[in-house]
Amino acid sequence: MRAKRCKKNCNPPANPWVFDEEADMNERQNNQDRLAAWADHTLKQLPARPAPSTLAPRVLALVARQASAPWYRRPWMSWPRHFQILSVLIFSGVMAVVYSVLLPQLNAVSPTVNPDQWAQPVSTTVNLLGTLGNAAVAVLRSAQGWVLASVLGVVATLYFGCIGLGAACWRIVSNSR
Amino acid sequence: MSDPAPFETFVLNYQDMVFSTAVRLLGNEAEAQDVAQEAFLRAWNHWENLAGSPTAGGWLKTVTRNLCLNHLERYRSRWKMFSDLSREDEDGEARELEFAAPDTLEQTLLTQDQRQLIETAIQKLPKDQRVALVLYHFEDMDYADIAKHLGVSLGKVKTDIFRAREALQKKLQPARESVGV
Repeated sequence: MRAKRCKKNCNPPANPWVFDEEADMNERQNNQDRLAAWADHTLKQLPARPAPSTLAPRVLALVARQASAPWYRRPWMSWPRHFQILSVLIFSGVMAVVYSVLLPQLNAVSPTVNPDQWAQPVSTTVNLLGTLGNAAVAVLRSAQGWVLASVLGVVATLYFGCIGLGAACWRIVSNSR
Repeated sequence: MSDPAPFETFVLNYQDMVFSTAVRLLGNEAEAQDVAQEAFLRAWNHWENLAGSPTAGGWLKTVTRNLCLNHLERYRSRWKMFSDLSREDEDGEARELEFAAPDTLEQTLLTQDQRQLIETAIQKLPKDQRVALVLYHFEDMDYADIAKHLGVSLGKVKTDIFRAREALQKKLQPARESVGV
């Protein structure tokens, strides 16, 4: 163990127990460098670990299964190029139709909104939510119990339908497993 | 789809490299096999571009490394719990092994047993230390890159790597009188 004393009360050159901060820092740095060199030298000598004998057959079996599957069962990224383009066009068309059908409906629900205001999505959303909230309150005040149960049932069905559809899309796009 | 025959050669040539990278980063052979399989499947899905490319090995190594880091990030909390438990069980059974002092490391060559023990010691390191150490010494990434990939500070990376080296040396080199480190 090394003694650490103040320089002021000692003669630095003569006393070997003097704590020299700079020397101590240098020594620590040297030790860290030596440790780093030792670790690098030791770890770099390690050869690659042999893979288990089951890995290659497992991969090749999966690849064979994937190669024999029809294109639509494979991940979207590996679909034939023309099918990828076609699917993007179809998806864009569907989105355009949905948007063009829904936009007038939304304008009808919220009469304060005109087409010029679609550049202000925040105010549009607030207006829409306000209208929907008022409608919901009116329905709750007037509706019977079975009506509410039916509405909740429809909402739940749509919600879980969306999850199922989303999961199916994800499986198609990301992985065929 | 492409012909699987050249891909089979590709898998056989690179399976050790992929598995090594995965098992050293993840510290778990079963998870490493899963990640290695996923890496090869991605290679298969990009086989048209990879076949015959001189950078295929580098691409595969990078994909494997990123898959491992994603895997660790995704299962961080669950992984931490299990690794802490297993480390508590294994601490008592560390075997001792003498290595040459750093001054003479030029002459040092590891035996098969020593290699095995180093691999085991790496696997037993705490996750943060092991990942940083492996990325630095095996993947040749610098401190800044590691910090960026792991989303931690530069100081933490340096500390983790330093502690990992110290822990490795303590585990592998109990007779350190002549080392001075």
